[in-house]
Amino acid sequence: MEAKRLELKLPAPVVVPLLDLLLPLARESGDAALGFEPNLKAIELDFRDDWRADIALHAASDQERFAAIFDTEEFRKSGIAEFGPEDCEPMLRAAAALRLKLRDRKLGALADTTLETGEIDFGRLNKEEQTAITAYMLLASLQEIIIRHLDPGSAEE
Amino acid sequence: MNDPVNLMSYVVLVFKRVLGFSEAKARKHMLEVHKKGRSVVWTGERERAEAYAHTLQTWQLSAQIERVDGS
Repeated sequence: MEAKRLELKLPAPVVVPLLDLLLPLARESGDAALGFEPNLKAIELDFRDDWRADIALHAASDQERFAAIFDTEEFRKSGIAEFGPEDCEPMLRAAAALRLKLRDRKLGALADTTLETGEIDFGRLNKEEQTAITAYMLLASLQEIIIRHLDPGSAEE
Repeated sequence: MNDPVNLMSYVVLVFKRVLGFSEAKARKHMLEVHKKGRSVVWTGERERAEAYAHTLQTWQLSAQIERVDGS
């Protein structure tokens, strides 16, 4: 039996302009795909490069899948993205990596506590920061939707 | 290790999926990370610790391995 496809409807006028920021980030490879610097201090020296490369490869693969789901004519036109159950975990990981990258590269001016609470004063941000924080929050919403789908019994925060 | 980016619900889900934790145990460790900056989520033989750390890192969590004193 074919697994059920999932459909996500997002507000196209808000979300589609964010693709110009998100898709190039999601299509990075090698070290640039990493959302964070893996701590490898306890790993044997001979294995560190392979370990790091493998984490980067996983991250790039997840983000490429994310990009492929949203980089469609249908999504640009209607805000509808369709994906399978097998895409849920890669999308969650990709969204996590993309949020980490946005924080490091575009949102450095914002304090960690501001990012955590989400209490953002948009008026004090420049255009680039406004786009980045909107993408950052959209990715969090996407993660919350997928988590509720995967784990409906999970307690609310 | 704590980071201000990953959602609490995400960390709970990862702990459940990767480490096989119950909801209550996953939330306890997530809150410990959130409040104290870190939580020991597994102790045991090195090979398995490395496998867990690697998988947690593929989920974008900043896991690290530490030697237990006396081992």
